[in-house]
Amino acid sequence: MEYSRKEVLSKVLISLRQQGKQSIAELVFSTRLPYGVIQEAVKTLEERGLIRIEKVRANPVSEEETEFVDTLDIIDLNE
Amino acid sequence: MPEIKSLLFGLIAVIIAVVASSMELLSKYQARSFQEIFFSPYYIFFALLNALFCGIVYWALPYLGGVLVRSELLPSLENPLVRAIVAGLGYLVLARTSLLDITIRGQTIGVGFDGIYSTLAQYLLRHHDMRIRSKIRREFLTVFSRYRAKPHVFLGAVKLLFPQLDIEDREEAEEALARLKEGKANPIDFCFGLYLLLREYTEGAESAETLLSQVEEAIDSDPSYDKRLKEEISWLFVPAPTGS
Repeated sequence: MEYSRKEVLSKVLISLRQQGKQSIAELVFSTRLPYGVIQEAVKTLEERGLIRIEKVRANPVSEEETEFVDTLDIIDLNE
Repeated sequence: MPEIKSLLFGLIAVIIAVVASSMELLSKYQARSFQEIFFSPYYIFFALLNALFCGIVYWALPYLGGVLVRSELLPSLENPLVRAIVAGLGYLVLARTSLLDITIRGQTIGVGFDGIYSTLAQYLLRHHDMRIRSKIRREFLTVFSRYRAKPHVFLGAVKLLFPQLDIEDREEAEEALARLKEGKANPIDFCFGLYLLLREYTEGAESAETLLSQVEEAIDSDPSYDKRLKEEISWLFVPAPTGS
């Protein structure tokens, strides 16, 4: 299915405005758009300075392991 | 004595209003636990907001009765129970009343009670929603740390859930899974999407975790099941390119 770039960007922005900051996975549910499409939209919106990305780190598996390898990107409007 | 009676029925009106407004949240957050929905400062303020507007309507009903209720009901308003029920169920009529509507950039804004009620209610419900989502994210990050070497456990749990859903929910869940797969998400995003699906159709974090541990056991004991799940999300098992 083809998605118009303008429509996708506006859907993502509206969802962030109405529901607050979200990860890309949450945006997949709130906008009903595919992951890849949202990922592209997020890149574009970040380049345009309309959003900012907050990185939330996952907990380390064990106490000995201190290296954080995974981060969840949380997207918020740049207001 | 009449004052105590009036206060008592005012309290009944407020209870009706709070229960009625809570129904809205129950229908919105069907997949969330009672504790997640109602043990929140934003919910308490939302309930207080509705109680306040209901109290105003209960107090003002003898003066505003002709505006708010049908004329044939007017004589019954002298009965305190009828007054309490009318206030408890009808306070939103006053809360949603605007003296005039202004349209700014195509959006109509009501000036009056509507403006005050809507702004406060939207603010509280939005923050309530954000609080629930933030809690789910924290729960996911803890669970993900446990299963990050086995992302296919999340997929297995979601697939285990599918046959238990009714046709409508199943179709919706399958569509959501297809949307998540489209674009080859990174492990944490993909697993979070699957976890959100799990939380949508299970009762609370504990049920989701139970399902995940059951799938982990099944994967560990059945290599062919493990292989099948891995093949379905093979891109997650391709080693990341290392820098030269």
